[in-house]
Formats: sequence, structure tokens, C-alpha cells
Amino acid sequence: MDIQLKRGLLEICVLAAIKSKDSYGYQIIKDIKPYLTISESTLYPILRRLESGELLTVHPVEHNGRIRKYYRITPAGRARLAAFAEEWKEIMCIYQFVTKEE
Amino acid sequence: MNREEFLQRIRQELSDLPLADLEPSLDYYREMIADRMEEGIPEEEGVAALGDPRVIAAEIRATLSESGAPAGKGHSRLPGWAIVLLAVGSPLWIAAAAVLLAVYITLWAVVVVFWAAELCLGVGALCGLVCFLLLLFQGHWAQAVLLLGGSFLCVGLTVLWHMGTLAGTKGLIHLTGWCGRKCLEGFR
Repeated sequence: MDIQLKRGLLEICVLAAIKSKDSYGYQIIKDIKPYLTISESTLYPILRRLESGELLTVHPVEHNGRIRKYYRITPAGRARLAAFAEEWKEIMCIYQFVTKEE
Repeated sequence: MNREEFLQRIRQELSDLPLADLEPSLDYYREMIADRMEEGIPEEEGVAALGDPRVIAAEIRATLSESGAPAGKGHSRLPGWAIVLLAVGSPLWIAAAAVLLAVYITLWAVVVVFWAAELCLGVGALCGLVCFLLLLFQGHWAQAVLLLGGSFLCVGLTVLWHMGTLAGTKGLIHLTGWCGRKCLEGFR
């Protein structure tokens, strides 16, 4: 898959992985892995980018005597997911046009 | 390699950066290893799964320089959907661009053909004149007059043809300039 395309899709997948409840790094990777290959070192810059774009917030939570960072989606993050779903409809129409049999 | 050795390797690779900037990244990897160990994966194995510390150090360096840039939005990037559209639609727009290019080349081919035709008319006029003179000296009056007439016809046609060809060529050059400007405006 095209690198730029994958990068964009990974951001969406991370938002999707935290949309129903807050999640943490390792869990996010496990949730995304069936759909897209993602490594720890790929996820980190994405989380940073989403945080600086205010699409998610970070909440340190004490867990087994250590700090675990939980990521929570913001309203802007939800809006981004909704926008993606809308864009995808258009893209699917174009896909059908492009692959239409003669 | 255990967790602390792994983190120490990354610190060594990035010793030129302020430790305070590094700490959030190291916390992230520390947490990743701890979460794996909690799942029952042995520490060494969990560390190994993260990959080469040198590669990770390079990634951290790239991430820090990216977020260190003012607002992180220095360069304009295409929105995600535009990239998807370009990728998915590539068979379409590449084909369309090829067709346009072919049409453009064809237009120039027509122009070249017109100039060639003009050259032929010009050469015809010249040959007619030379043959007229030759025949005149040999005393073949009737044929000489016929060729002179043909030569004049060619001259006339050449002049007319030239006006048309020149106008067509200028038009195509104008069209090229106009399209070029439109394309540049589109990219700005």
C-alpha cells in the first residue's frame, strides 16, 4: 500500500481503536494488527501527531504500581472519523467508476 | 537484552538530545515492554519484539524533529482523501493525460505537415521556373508557357498557404502558452 495512504489510514485506525473506550498503546496495536501492520515505533509518532492536533488527549492512569497512558478521543477526533466515513463513500463511487466493466 | 539495557542503548544513540525531550518516548517504550510482560511474554522476548534500538532511536529523532517544527504544519500536505483519490483514480487520470498529450502531439504533426506542403509548393514553383527557362532556350514555346503558368500557380498557392500555416502555428503556440499558464495557476 502507498505509504502516504497507509499513514492516513493508520491515524484513522488509531482513532477508531479508542472511539468506544479509552485505550493504551499495546492494546491499540493489538486492535489494529488484524487490519493493518503496525509496530510500536510506527504508533508513537501517530499518537504524538493526533495529540498535537487535539484529536485525542492523554491520561496517565496508575496500573499495577506503574503509570500507563490512556488515550481518549476528543470531539474533534470523532468529527475526523465521521468525515473519513463520508469521504470514503465518495471514494467508493470513484472506485466503482474506475473498475467498471466495459 | 533486558528492558533497561534496551532503553540505555536508545539513550546512547540520542545522547546529543536533551534528556528531558527523550523521556516521554522512553516512557512509551517502557510501558510497551511492561504491558507485554504482564501478558506473560518474557522480558527479553518483549524487548526483542520492539526491534533494533538503533532503528527506534532514529524514529524517535524523526518524531522529535517533526513535533519540534513550529506548529508542525510548515509544509502544506494534501488532505488524506485527496491522496486516496489520486491513488485510486490513477488509472483514469494517467490515461486522460496520455490522451491529451497524444492530441497535442497530433496538432503539432498537422502543423508540420502544412509546412512540408508549403515547402513542396515552393520547390514546385522554383522547378517550374527553371524548366521554363530551359525549354525557352531549347525553343519549345508551348511547353515553356505551360510550365510558367504552373510555376505562377505554385507561387500564388504558396503565398496563400503560407498565411494559413503561419496563422495555425501561431495559434498553437498561443494555446501552448495558455495551457502552460493554467497548469501553473492550478499548482499554486
